[in-house]
Order: sequence, then C-alpha cells, then structure tokens
Amino acid sequence: MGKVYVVTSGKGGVGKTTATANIGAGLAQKGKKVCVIDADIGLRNLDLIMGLENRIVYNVVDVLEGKCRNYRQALVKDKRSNNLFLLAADQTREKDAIKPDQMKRLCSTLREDFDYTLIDCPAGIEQGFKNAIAGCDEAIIVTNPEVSAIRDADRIIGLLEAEEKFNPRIVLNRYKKDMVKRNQMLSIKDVQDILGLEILGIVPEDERILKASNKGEPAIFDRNSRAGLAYKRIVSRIVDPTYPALNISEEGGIFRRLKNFLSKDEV
Amino acid sequence: MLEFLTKFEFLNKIFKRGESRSSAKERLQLVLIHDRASITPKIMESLKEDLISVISRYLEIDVSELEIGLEQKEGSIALAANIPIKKVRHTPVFLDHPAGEPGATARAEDRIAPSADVESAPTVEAVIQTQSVRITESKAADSVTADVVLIPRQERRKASSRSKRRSKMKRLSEVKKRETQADQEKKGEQF
Repeated sequence: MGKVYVVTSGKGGVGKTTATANIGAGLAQKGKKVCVIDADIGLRNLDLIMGLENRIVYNVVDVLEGKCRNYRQALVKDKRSNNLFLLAADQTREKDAIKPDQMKRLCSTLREDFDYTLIDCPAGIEQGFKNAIAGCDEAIIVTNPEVSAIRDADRIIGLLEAEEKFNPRIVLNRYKKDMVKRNQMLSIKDVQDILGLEILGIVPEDERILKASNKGEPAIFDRNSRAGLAYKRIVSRIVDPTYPALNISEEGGIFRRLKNFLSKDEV
Repeated sequence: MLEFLTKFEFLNKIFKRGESRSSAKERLQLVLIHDRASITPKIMESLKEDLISVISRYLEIDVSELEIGLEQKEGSIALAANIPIKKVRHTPVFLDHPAGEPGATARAEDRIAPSADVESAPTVEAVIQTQSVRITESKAADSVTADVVLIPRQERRKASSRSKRRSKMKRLSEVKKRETQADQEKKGEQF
C-alpha cells in the first residue's frame, strides 16, 4: 500500500512544482515506484519542469472522463528513471473539469500501484486546491520565509485541518542563511514558532534551480546544486522520518560554529 | 501588561534599528491572530462596548484605562482584557437595562456575589477564551480579583444552572476550609 502526498502552499510561486519534480525524482532514485500528478488544470507546469512536455498524449482529465481505457495509458515515463511516471494536467480546461470524488477514486487506485504518489497542487484555496487534497494521505506545505507566503500557508493549514488532513509538514524553500544572520529574513525557528508544524526540510535559494528548469532537468540530478542536495535530504526524510532535517543546527556553541564555518554547509 | 500592546512598543524599536526580521515576525503573529480569529475591528468595538456595560453593572471601572485585545496563549487564541477597578459596587446597578432591575437579562452565570470592601484599587486581569462568559470570584491574599473566563458554547450548556455553580463554590470553600484546618494542625504539630 503506497502513500499519497499533496504538495501545496496557498501562495503561488513558492516552489511546489519544483519540489514535486525533485522529490519525485529523488524517491525514484531510491528505487521507489513513483507517480507524480499535475493537478494545476489549465496552467500545467510539472511537465515542463521535468522536461517531459513533448511526450504527453493523454492527461488526468482524459483519465477521469474515461477518454482512455486505463490511467496507465496517460502515464508518461520519466527520461532518466524507469520507475517515475507523470500524469499531466489538461492545459485546455479549467479547475472545475474534475471533482474531489474523482480524485479520491484515482488516488485509491494509484495507492495500490505506486509506493509514492505526489500531487502538485495549484495555488489558491478554490476548486483546484479542494480537488488536489481530496485523496491525499499526507500534506507537504511548501513556503518561503516571507510574510505573504507564511500567511497563506497558515490559511492552508487551517483548511487542511478542516478536511481532517492532520500533521502536514513544511518545506521551507528559498532560504538564505546570510540574510537570516543579518536579521533580514525569517529564520527556521521563526517559521516553526509562527506556523507550529514540523519542518520536513529547508531548501536554500539556488540559481541552479533556474538552470534546471531551463533545461527540464530537476536540480536533484545536479551535483553542484545546494537545493538539489537539500531535496535529497528531504527524500531521505520522507522514506525514513528519523533522518535529520538539517546538516547543522542554527544554534550552537563556539565549536559548532567553527565546524559549520569550515564544513560545506547545505543551507 | 497585554502582550500585543507591548509588542507595538517593541515594534517601534525594531523599525528604528532597521532590522526587518523581527518586524516581519511580529506583524505576522498579529495578522495571523486576527486571521485565525476573524474578528473585524467593528465587531471588536461592539464587543468592547458590551463588555464595558456588563462589567459596569458590578464594578465601577476606569473605561479610559481599559485594554482589550487578542493574544496567543499556548497555541490557542484568547481575548485578553485588563480592566482597572475604581470601586466594587455593593449592589449591582443595571444602567443598561430599561427597567433598571436585575434578573431579566442577566444570565445565571454572569452574576457574581457582592464582595467585601476592597482596601486598595486592584486590577482585574481577565483572560477571555471564547464566546460566553462565566465570572467567578477568587480572593488572593491582599486583593480581590475577578476572573472573567469566556467558555465555549458546549461547556456553557453544561454549567447552566445557578445551583450547580453555587454547589461548586460551596465545594471550593469547603476544600479551602479543610486546607486551612490542615495547615493549622500542622502548625500545632510543630509546637
């Protein structure tokens, strides 16, 4: 029996699609059978970030409307991995093209066939969001250390609780340690204090993310990408929840600080 | 005294120093309190007025020094009020009630028993947790405080009868009696 995760945020542009692509690729690298679904109907992007935009024949709406025999017809196998599959969104329709019940049924099928199913949720709190969360077991909330993102994430937490999706975890994306040190950016602890949730991982701001999306190759495959390393750590933590969230802690004595200074920091 | 008011002062200091991180955090915490509680300023004003009129029935309060606001307490949101008392009324005065008589609109759990004279001017620090009011009276060593606790609707229904409250107060005072007796016995033993 697999697990279905929804990757949501409330605010747009915080890194949901990037996170879905990278976490999906990372889980597949670990040998898991993974399906990623783009639930952003009308504004699909997961295919682009994964570099699979030219390979799409059928999409998730086709599956739910019965236009193809089986959902497997609509799956696009990833270029780099044999156990990662994409179910793309329909670019021509709108969010009301599917209903939460349909997604629930689809998710129960996928739960049987895949170890991990990741749903890339659209921004907002309307029908698209409701569809995306309907069938999920757990939620991953992607946010940035920035006031609007945190505020929206808080709203999402409330809505998830109302739908009885308890204990979501946070991926803090676009983190900049030097800005935090200069007290110009909210710290990890600030975010934890404000939102009150467990942190799944912290992904640093990284120019290589743009490079990755330019090429259609998720950053987790880029050895020089700090963000990619962070996603690798997140993947390890999903598979094994006892894996530590961070390489280094924020607070620490003089020796730890020296060690941090000398060692290669992920964050 | 109220956290959120002191936060405003703290905020000013932060803005002067030019650090934006703390102001981000403070602003977020405030805005989230309001988002989560969804109390509009208008509703807050009427709530304040209603609170003043109810409390004024039993206590003469300093309205100009009254502070009411939302604050976060251990993961839940509380309405906190700091109400300076000028005088405790020996008999409740119902200025807001047209007939000027008690009973008609007062709910059983809103009434407190008239208290003894107060030597100093105490402050009522009330932590109000949700929508309905239960006022209990507690006597500390040298002052009288009224604990105003707003309890959730479900709990209200349970504690709706005056007799239940009376018996609870009786029980509490009996417990206190027993405790003081026990203390005295202990003192006796020491000698």
